[in-house]
Amino acid sequence: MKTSKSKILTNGIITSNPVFRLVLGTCPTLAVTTSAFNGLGMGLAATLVLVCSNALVSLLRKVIPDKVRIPCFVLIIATFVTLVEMLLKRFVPALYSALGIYLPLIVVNCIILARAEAFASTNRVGDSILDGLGMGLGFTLSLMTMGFIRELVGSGTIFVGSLGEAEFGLVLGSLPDYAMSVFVMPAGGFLVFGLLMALINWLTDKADKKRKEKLVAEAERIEEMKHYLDEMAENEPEVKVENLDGQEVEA
Amino acid sequence: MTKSEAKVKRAPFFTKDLVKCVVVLAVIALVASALLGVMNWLTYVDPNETIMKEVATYYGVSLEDVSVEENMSKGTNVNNCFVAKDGDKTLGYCFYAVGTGAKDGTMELLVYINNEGVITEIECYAQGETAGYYDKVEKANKSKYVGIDCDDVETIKLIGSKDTPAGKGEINALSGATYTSKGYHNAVAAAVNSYNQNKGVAHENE
Repeated sequence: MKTSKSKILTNGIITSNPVFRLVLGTCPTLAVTTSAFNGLGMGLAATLVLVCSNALVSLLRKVIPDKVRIPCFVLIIATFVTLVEMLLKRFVPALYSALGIYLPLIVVNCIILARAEAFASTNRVGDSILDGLGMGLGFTLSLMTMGFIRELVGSGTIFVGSLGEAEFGLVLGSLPDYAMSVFVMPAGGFLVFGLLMALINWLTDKADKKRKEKLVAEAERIEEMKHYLDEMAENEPEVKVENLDGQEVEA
Repeated sequence: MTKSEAKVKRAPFFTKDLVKCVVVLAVIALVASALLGVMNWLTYVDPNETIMKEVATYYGVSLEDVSVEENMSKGTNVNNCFVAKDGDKTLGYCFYAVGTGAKDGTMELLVYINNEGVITEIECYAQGETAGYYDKVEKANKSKYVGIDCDDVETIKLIGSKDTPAGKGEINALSGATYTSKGYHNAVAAAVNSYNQNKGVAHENE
């Protein structure tokens, strides 16, 4: 059964969210989400690499021999990561310094290699691009959410960052003086990660339960209708057919 | 089976599959290299130019009035020194100093010292501290150094010393970021040492 385009796109955002559902790419997730801006930057960089590498892997899927597919995928992914690195260093140096070593580590991010192997290498270019976009958006949203919470509680600021000459962000009064610094440390990262995962699992289970109840109710309704039709068939009155002369004929 | 028969029966090493694998890998590698070379050429950032722009902005001069002062950068842990001039008059210097002992290796600071030898500003160029902590380190340390004369080496040593008793509201280093505070001090000290060692040479050249 062909999966619709919208389902491919939304799969990575909600159902198969790479961070909270598939638990992939945990290392950069915990390391860079000390602020929402860093999370957004890392997410967008990973999305760009994901989309480009998915597109190219899909384009070359019939050319790349099976025996060397992994080295080829890694070569392609590493090229795009280096390109993104050069672009960030040139145009957004603040983000480049903030991401540090975790930018080149996108090469070994499980999400990118997994999608190249599991989806792009067996699907068309258009679908692969949509899949990359969906997974990337899911990754970005997850990172931004974690970064927002950790920054707010751990630094008392919201979306502080700089883009070229422009600096932005909100410092919440004297909250930075009372911020719980542990939330910008690894321990706080794990705590926020676990709590968010628990919340998402709870919401997903609730939605699944609702869907199952709906299906059961639908099945029961169909069963009732069937029973009713069977009863109707049993109690069907005898139909006599008469011709124009008033003689009974077979129905 | 004789030797010659065995040779004939052995499978060939260079099969079509093997050749295809090597060719595909080589082509992808070559195309990737070419692409990376072009992108590197397009996006190359000269680190000196970036710093010179910041120095020009700080002193309120144009980029042409800022130049590299090699004579002043002959000090340990000082990568470079830049001088801002207004015509023939020297407005001040900017030392690109590296502070060893910081978290994740080193801390790189831009230490601005004016013509009279007073530290006027300290800006961060690169550091590896946890986000949210560095701002506190800068807040705790910067004000201790800005305004101090480079001749007052003892005061600078004392600021970075562990033996300095903490006075009212003063702190020696930020708890949880002591390495970064140490790196901060080392970078400023390197800039001051370089200025003191070479200021005679610089004044001669004016």
